[in-house]
Amino acid sequence: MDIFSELTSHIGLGLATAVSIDNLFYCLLGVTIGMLVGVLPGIGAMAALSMLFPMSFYLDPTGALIMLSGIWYGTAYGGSTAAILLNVPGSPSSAVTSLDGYPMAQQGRAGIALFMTTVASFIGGSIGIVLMMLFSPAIAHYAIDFGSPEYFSLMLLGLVAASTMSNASFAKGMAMVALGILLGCVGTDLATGMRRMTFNMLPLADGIQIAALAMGLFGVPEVVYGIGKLRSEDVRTNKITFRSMVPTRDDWRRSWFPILRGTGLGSFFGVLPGTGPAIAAFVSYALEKRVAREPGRFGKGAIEGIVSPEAANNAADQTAFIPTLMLGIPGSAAMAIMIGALMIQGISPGPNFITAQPALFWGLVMSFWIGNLLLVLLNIPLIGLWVRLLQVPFQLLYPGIVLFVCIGVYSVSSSSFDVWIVVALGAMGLLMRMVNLPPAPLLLGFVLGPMMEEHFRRSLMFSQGDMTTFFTSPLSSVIMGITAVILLWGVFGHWSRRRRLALAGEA
Amino acid sequence: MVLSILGCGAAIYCAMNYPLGEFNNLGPGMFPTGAGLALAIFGLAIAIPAFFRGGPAAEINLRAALAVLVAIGVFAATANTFGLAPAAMLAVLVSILGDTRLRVVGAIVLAVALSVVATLIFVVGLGVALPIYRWPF
Repeated sequence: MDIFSELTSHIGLGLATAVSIDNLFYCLLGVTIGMLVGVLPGIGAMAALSMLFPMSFYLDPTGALIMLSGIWYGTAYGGSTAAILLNVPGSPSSAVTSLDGYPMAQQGRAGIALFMTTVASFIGGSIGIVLMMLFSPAIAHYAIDFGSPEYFSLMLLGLVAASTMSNASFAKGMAMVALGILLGCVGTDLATGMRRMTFNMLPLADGIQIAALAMGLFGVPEVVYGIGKLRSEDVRTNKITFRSMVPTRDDWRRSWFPILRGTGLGSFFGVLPGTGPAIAAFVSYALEKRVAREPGRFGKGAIEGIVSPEAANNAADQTAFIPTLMLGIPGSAAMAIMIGALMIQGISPGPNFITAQPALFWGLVMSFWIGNLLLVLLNIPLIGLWVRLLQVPFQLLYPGIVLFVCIGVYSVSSSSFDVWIVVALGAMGLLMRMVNLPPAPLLLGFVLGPMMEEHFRRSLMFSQGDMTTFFTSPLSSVIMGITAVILLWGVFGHWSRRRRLALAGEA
Repeated sequence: MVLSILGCGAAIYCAMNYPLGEFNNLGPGMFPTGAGLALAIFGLAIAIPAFFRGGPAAEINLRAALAVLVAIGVFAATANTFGLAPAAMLAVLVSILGDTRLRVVGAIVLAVALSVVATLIFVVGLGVALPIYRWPF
């Protein structure tokens, strides 16, 4: 069977799954919530994902994943709306969009900016999906030969890369990864049945719930920092009509290549561990500024400066699923939540995922298309509604979020102990945010830690305690080499930056 | 400064893990010990420069933080004894204290409305095993 007929049959299967009434509903629900959360500054994708994560247990795996991913890429669409109209990015990945989007709104071109970001998002997302469809099977096919040493090395690479790429310093990222692994160790040891770090508290024997961790680290700090800070004022609502959305021919001409460039960069950064939509958006903005004939226009309402990052962050949103589903290695905190959702449903992502769960995989991919289409529909005709939503005061919203967090965590295993854990982890999350420690590497370490331990043990079991097993297989040694390079780069890059800062301080 | 405290915490954490393991033959303590060591090393790497710099910690809205954390705690404490709806209402009321812009009437209306919505979604819609209300006395 040649590739194309195979692909068509997969697409057929995927469509059949995605178009079922239930899954369409979950898709719509997911993207609507995503859009909502994206529009509202103060709650990000991670808070929304962790809030709705417990609800996904009550759905079947396909519906659960469709809904959660809908939230994830829906925020990318919604985030740009707040960025353009309020100059407050609704999500970190659209922070750059506000650089040129808000000036456009001030010039009375908000309609065009909103329309073009939606188009750019759709194109970026679509190309990302196509890439996912083409490359996932190939990667899965290749990865099927991976043994435990390869997996261990890959996960190590993922964690090291994630802490290098995060905004904070390298040491902070690595410390958070280590802390995450430690927290992941809490509970009963799988191999020996020994209880670790439970301090004789029985409920801890099952370990810490990923939902409780995510809510404590992301949900609680986001709500607390939102209170009192967010005021809805000065929304430029009045001038957004359909007519004002029609871009000029000049806008199209300027946008075409930036969209494609942004998509390319975004797809690339989406696959890499540790980088994600936010970094993709920043890099593509920098690139557009570099290649532009008149860089001076940037920051004053250049359309290239909004379409390229928006295409990039949406493409990255989609391609991030490739390593997550095909290797079982999440590249970002949101992907770690996806893995958590799958594992709770009893499905382990990895190279066998496509063949073992064809309906789930292709259904999910097809739901991405539907979701992206829905988002375009939600965005363009309903823009007035979203704009009005921006004016809902945060003091009416956040008690509801707090309540959702409580009941959500409780419902995971009907235990109020888990809710107490959220209190403790929430306090920790707040402290971390105060001292600028990044929570994402912690969550990644938490999810990957137990898997790493298992692969580490298994590798050493096969090699009879010989540590060189990680360097004898060619693939594993290459990965270890890359990891070492990133590690060194992280350490020295940090050091030299510090020195440069010190010099600049003296001068 | 807070960072250096965190570094010390990391070291203590690590020491706590030692008795658990150090079996060379892949005992249950080995992996956490390794992670604890890594945390201690990187914690020190953060703490030492931070100690000399003495940088300012980011400001935090203490009132909001307390209100949110206490609200979650109140829910945890009351959910099992009183049931979902009263716990939800209490949690909402406490969390509202974090922000000054809502008046008493508004707060009560919001608490009741949110409890009803939450009950409908979670108990009626999703079938969470938690009674809507309960009188323990």
